[in-house]
Amino acid sequence: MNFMTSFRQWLEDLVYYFAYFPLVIQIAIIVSVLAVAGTAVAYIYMIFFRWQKERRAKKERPLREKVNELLLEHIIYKSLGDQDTAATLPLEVFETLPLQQKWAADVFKSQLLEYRNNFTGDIPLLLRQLYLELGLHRDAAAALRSGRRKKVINALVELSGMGVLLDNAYVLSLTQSRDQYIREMARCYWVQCSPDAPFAFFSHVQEPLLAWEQFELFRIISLRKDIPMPSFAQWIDFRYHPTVIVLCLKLAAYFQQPEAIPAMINLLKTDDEQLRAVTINNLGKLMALEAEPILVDMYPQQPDNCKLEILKALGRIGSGNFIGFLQQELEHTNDFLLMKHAAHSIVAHKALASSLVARLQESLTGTRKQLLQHSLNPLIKY
Amino acid sequence: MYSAILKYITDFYESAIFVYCAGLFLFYILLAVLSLVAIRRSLWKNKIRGQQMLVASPLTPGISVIAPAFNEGVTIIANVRSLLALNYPRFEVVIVNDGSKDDTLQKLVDEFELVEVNFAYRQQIPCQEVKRFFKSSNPAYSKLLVLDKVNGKSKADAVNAGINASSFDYFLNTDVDCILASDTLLKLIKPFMDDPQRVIATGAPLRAANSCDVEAGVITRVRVPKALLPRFQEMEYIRSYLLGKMGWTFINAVPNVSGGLGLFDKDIVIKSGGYDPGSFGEDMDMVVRMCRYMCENDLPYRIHYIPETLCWTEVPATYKVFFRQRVRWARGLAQIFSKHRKVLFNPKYKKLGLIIFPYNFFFELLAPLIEFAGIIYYIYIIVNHLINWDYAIILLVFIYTFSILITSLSMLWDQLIFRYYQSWKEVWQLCILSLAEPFIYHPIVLFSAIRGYFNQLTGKKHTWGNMQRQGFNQSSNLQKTT
Amino acid sequence: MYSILLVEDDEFVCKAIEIILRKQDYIISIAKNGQDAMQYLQQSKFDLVITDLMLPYANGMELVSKMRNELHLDVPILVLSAVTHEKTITEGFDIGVDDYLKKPFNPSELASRVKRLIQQKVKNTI
Repeated sequence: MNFMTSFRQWLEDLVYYFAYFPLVIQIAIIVSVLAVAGTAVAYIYMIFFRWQKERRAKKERPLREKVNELLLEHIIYKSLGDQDTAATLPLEVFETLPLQQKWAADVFKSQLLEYRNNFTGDIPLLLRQLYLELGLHRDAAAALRSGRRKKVINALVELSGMGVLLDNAYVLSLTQSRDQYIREMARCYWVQCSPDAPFAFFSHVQEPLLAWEQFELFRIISLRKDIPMPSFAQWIDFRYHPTVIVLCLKLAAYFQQPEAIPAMINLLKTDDEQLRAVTINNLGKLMALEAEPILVDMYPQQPDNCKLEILKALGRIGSGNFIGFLQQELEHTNDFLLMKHAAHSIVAHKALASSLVARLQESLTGTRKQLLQHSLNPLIKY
Repeated sequence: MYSAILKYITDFYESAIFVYCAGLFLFYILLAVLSLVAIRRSLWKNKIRGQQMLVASPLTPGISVIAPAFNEGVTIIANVRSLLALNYPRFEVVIVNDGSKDDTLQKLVDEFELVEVNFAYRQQIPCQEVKRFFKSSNPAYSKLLVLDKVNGKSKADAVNAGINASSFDYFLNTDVDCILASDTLLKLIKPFMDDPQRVIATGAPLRAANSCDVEAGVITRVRVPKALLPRFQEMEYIRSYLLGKMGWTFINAVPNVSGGLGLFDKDIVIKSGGYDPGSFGEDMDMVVRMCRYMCENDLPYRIHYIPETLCWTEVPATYKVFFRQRVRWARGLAQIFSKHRKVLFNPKYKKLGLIIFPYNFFFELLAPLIEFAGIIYYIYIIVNHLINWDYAIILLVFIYTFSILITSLSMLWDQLIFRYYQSWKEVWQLCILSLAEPFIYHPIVLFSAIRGYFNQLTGKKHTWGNMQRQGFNQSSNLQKTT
Repeated sequence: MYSILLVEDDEFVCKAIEIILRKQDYIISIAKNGQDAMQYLQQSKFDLVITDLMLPYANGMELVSKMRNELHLDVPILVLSAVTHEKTITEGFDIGVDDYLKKPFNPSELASRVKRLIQQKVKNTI
């Protein structure tokens, strides 16, 4: 008690004499008071934040379960039965949900997205139809035009997730947006949803496509089963942005489009070493027989990364015509990685190389021999 | 005359200290704001760019997970198994048995059906000799590569061997006793993919695994450490990662990617010479050398931290082990400044020379010395009855309340990211600890730092004590469930 | 009535598959990880195992290899996974996977593959 009163006295003195303290002490007092207040606010906010989160989770849980039940019963079950019944959706069932409230609509939409991401076949189409017929796209449509960055991006993400294309011309213009995220999302959205020209923006890409964007576009394109794939060779041309070319090289190889090979061979002339290496890599994946002599021919003038890709490509193409070249590299190069990939590519020739491998096992020594054995060992993958 | 000089010195000292403190506090507030922005941005990015796509993509780059093991026989099997179960489509696990004296290697051989292979190995960065290489004869473990090497007396040496033997362009540097979240690789590779600039390293927060429930190398429930010392460390980790590293990430000035968990661009690590076995702070030294390499070759780069905790590690539970660890860290810091002397204030090194080094020099390296001098000074004026008690108390309260504010803010940021702790009680236990930190925990950290600098100056040989592993809460978990 | 063991750690996928296959009159048991799956397999007999590749504790490959080499089970195994890396898939077939279905999947396709695998097994055992 005594301590408390003297402490209070001290505090009162502090206030009373505040104006007479040196500046340093004044600042210290002010900062201390602010710090105590800040700490209190931090704790109050922490309590509030946790409480709010818990409350929201509690509120959402029953709705989520209900939505799950309905979707499973009316969408998933239906898709398993005969195909004809799918045309009519039992809208009245879903209209019983409190979808006019924003939080409920958000829960419902997130469930729709989750189902769309996990299933293929008719289900995504049914879910899309449900989304449209319940009018859930209206908010996103409005947000798209709102001009507010985050809202636009969220709308793009939602609409592209649901596979609903609105406002064609406007979205296409967003693929040129100056904002990196809007641009990226608009491109993914466009590729995902455009019914006739999903690759329209490829020709006027100015800024590099990030690795991430390339991955995402690659995934979306590889999942689009509703349109015939165009020939990606048309974008394998110096006129386009290098990252667009890279993406199209990978797509051409993924969809096994041999008609892209001449364009790729033409691209080998590029000064961009990185691009050249990717081109060589994908020629290998396309098993471009006609590229083999060209690659071997250009080999001596190449930087190491392109040399490496040439050796790998020869292994993938595996015609056997240039196995002597690989042998020569294995026997004479002094670069470890080149040696390793020469050995790998010889082994990749399988039966075609069996007698050579036997001979090399006798003749090689040291690291070269070890690398050959390394490549031959089925337990070692790389 | 004499007293006039003395008065002059004490006045100067007092105001200098105040300016120093004010500067430090300003920096902290700035970092707190920056880290909040960085955390929110990172969470938002997660929302719009899902990582699941990486699992399915055939374009996802491969990663080599490198984990050195020294006398880890007790836990090695569960830990390797959990590394093999990471959620990622293309990776290998390189375990470097660093000359263990126990049955670590034999256990691995038996459990994973390992056979010795003739592995073509190239020593690109220096390390002790690797005697044997093992691969599994069971295709289910084809991701696993085990190296048996001569003990190099440091983690750096073992990681270097792992890098030399690894096959992919990126490698994760971790410890075999670290428990990783299953999405670790997906989350850490993401910044490499979605930044327009070249990313050379990413890291994520670590926390104490001491009281967590662990089942077969996987965390089943996160708990706040029960013992006092690990609990202080958990608090300090949260603060230094969420308030420090996240803030630095925002301005691309991350000083260090911690040795427990970091994903690196292998090419740059090799070009900068690999880890230095002679360093006491090999992780920071590595990052500094990588940054130097990038600056010297005029290459733009970024180092990222992400806010989600991905790694749980057993932190020292006894004061002796803890003290030794901190002595080593302090010595590592001092060593870095003497080794990379010419970086400090050198505009050639851009942010490294003008922000990271000056900040760490004044507020990390010098802080213990200034504080120590302050304590001596206080003792001196108390003994000589020169002290103005009112002012002294006000200044102490000033420092005390501010340090609590900073810790509280980091706790709040932590709550915004993810609910790691299920109960309120656990959050509260951590928060309340910040009140005691300046009296109990901080003095140990301070004196270990002074000791570390002293050892560095005198060149005392460091004894590499092994951390006594107590094993995670595996058995107590069983008791709890029954 | 045929019984199926489903090994999957994603709750959503688990629930969905359970409902899809129940509708086709299969009995479904669910294991959330490789360890639990091994316990199930030691205790009872299944006509089909559906497993993911990335599971906590022990991955799908390890589970498949243990089923074939340690428990010597000839039950058909269907892998349901998001991984599309060719090497991983062929490796799976090498160690004893019978069929591979990519995530995201079409429920009717899953149903028909399950039916085919079980019929094949029944035919083989007769």
